Amino acid sequence: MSFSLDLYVPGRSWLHRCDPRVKLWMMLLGLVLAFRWTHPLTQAIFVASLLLTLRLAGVSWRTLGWLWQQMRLLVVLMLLLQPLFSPSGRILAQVGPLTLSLGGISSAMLLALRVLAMAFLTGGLLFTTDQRALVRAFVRLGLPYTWGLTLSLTLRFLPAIGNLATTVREAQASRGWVAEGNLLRRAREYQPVLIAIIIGALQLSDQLTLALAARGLGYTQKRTSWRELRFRHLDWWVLALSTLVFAAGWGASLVFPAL
Amino acid sequence: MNAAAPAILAQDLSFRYPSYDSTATSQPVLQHLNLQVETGTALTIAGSSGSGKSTLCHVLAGLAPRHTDGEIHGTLHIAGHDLLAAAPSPRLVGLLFQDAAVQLFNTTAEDEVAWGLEALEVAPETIGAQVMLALRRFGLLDQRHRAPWQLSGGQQKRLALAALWAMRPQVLLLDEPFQGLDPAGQSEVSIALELLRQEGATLLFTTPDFGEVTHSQAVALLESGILASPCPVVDLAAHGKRLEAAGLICPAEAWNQLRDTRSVITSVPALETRNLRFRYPNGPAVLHGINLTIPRGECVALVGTNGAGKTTLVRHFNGLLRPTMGSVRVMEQDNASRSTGQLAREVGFLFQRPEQQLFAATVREELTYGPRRLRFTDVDARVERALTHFGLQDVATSPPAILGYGRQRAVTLATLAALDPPILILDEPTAGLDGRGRQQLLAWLAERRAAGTTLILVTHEMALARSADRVIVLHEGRVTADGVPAEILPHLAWEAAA
Amino acid sequence: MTIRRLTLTALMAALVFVLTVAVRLPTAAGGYLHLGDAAIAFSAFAFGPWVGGVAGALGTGLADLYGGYPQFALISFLVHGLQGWLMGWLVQRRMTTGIVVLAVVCGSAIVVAGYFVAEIFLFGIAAALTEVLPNTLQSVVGAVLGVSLYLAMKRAYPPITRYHERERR
Repeated sequence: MSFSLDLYVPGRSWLHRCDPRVKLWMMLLGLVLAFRWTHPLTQAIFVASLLLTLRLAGVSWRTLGWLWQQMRLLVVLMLLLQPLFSPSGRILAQVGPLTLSLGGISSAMLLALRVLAMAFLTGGLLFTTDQRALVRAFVRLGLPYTWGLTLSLTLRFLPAIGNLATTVREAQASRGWVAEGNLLRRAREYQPVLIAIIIGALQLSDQLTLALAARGLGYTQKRTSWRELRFRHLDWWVLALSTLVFAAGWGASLVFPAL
Repeated sequence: MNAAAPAILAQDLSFRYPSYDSTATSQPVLQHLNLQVETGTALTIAGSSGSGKSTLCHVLAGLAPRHTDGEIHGTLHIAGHDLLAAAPSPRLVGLLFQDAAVQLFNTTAEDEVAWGLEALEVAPETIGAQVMLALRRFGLLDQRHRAPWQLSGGQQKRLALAALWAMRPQVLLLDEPFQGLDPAGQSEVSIALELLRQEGATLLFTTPDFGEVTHSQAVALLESGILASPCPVVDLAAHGKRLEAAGLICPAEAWNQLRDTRSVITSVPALETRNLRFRYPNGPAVLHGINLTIPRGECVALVGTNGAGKTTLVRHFNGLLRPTMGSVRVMEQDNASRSTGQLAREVGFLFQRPEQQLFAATVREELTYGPRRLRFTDVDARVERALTHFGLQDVATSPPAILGYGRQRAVTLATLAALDPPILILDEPTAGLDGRGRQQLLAWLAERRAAGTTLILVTHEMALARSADRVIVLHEGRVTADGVPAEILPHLAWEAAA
Repeated sequence: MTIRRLTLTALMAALVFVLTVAVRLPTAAGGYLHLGDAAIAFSAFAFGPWVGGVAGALGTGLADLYGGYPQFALISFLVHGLQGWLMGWLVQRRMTTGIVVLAVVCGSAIVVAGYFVAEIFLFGIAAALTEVLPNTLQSVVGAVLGVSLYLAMKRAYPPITRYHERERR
């Protein structure tokens, strides 16, 4: 079992070079707008401009395709189900208890597009930001270092647990383990595998506890940081520009509530 | 603090872990230990598995009982600092853990080295230079942007060393520094340690294998938590019986017994591969057309450098991997339609670090698992036989996960013995074993050999390869030599030296 | 926070993550059941409310972010965090059958209700309704598996009781 966890794709684009704190800020503003706008067309334009922004930031079609693959089932399901469940406005067709209405279609499209907008917004952050930089940004924003370290260690443990899981599963299979039968039976079959994984993992965490202590965690109250995050000109520009765009978008929705 | 103070001074030091069971008190792991190591010298602590080596390292590094719980008595000073009173600075004592991978937790090699310096509040401007110096010192400068888990075993150990060395500890503890490394990795680490020794660092090694004692002049034996006083290596080397008793070397008779056991070879094939090719999905080709026929009862050693495809090949025998092209037949039946679980009846597989698979509430349940899954009719008889054979009756009702390392290895062998398959595949079976563990393994192998079991031994250890009927050399996914050990191995040694 | 608590929390978060994305048992409805809830229940029972809560929050939140369901990340973070904390809190003093059942019911109720409310807000009532049954099934089955896993672990690895946040009878 392997986890291709790091969604980060290294690059040199303006978005890659932005301070992660600026990117977090942008993501936050984007999410607020996604929920502020209630017209499917506005939302569609928003999604299209996010897509354009990601492309301009050097995010490849391949990465975006992966994201779409993860999303498409949910999007299709929402487009199909939502109109049937919440009819409103002009009725287009009626089959038994199912009603297809204009208002239903419109709200289905809004919700599906909003989900896509959220995916692109988080993607914009995760595809262009190194995990280390992200954790450092959280710490700079006030998260205690030990919490940031917990987050890093979680990511650190993932491949280790994945390896452990593979090893244990193969070993059990070699002793006659087969996952078969109905759901509950299968869940029971997984128990020996899980137990062996957890025992191994606990021993791993004990070792890591000692390793962290041996390398000086908690020996001093504060830490220095080799590569500290710094705001550069680019960051100020992006920060100002994105806030301006947000203000314009919010303002527009005040003037034209239909957006 | 006190320049004249010895680097390590322990007096009447005893340590025990807490008992998880409130009704019993636990056995002490270290008993009334006295140890003095002068600055600038190197000492090796040799002890079998479970003798308390790792615990001693944890105590000397100030980690136990501070971060493990447990009780400690006596006094311990490192360079004049009272370790039991206050946690030591990483600048005082550094510990290289047995398993290098667990002590690497950053995403790049350079961050790994920087992490400790950051914890010591070193000024950010100077960290970069110190990191690069440490990486260059251990030959890892070109690897600095790689993730620690992408590095080889030898590189991981060197990175862990670099991360310690960057903090300039006065005493460096090295817990089984060669454990789990292939020969190439061992020599890498060996060179790095030799340099440290020549620079006059204070080093304390531990080892389960007396053959490894090369970096220090003095050695002290640790047996069941009792430390003997150090003596020159040469003095001890002569006392073979003493080392055998301490479980540090495997008696020659055990090797002889395996070598002299006659295999019961028949003309019926146990394993056959036809033009076996394998490539990982989206990965490089690993096996390029392997044609092998291994008759029932033969004892075969599979040797070759790391990455030659040995493990990949044997994983096809019990269906953990499926050929990209060609076929694999086990006991004259094609593997294609049989799952690993089904093949378990025919093929037993001893993995590297097999103790990771232990899960049951009791040793007896652990042994019962396989035979029951395979629906054998004589489950109980099989389990009792295996328990008796490995002397596990006294722990039959204990959870295997809490047994000592040596006992756990015995349990993993017993799980295979209870299945008693006609083919046994053992992947690096001697790795990490002390003398006593080897003795146990070799005796069982000899017994299986005499009983007509087909044995496939994947190994780096030449002594084991010499004991086989046949040696198959794999190189870059092809069989480059195949024949009796006496013909193949001398040539192989020459190849490795060149 | 001791270092031990820190690594244990990170480890359990990783375990929740792995079980959320890796062990997917297909259901008849065409969806899948993940075992993340089992890992959350296990952490809460074995190690107490804080480890259970943080592991549940971080593990499922990250699994959603990195597993391609970013729109769920925040909900999962809050809902599963609360689920883990509450279960751990309920059983931290005593573990009688009654309390265990209560913990399983409460934990599942939080998951089902939490997702329902959040999904109405996010995707509308239709999508939210279709999720109620699978969520109930998943969290109840998950919690039951988690409890049985804990009991089996206690037999296979007795020292596990030492890792709990506090002494327990």
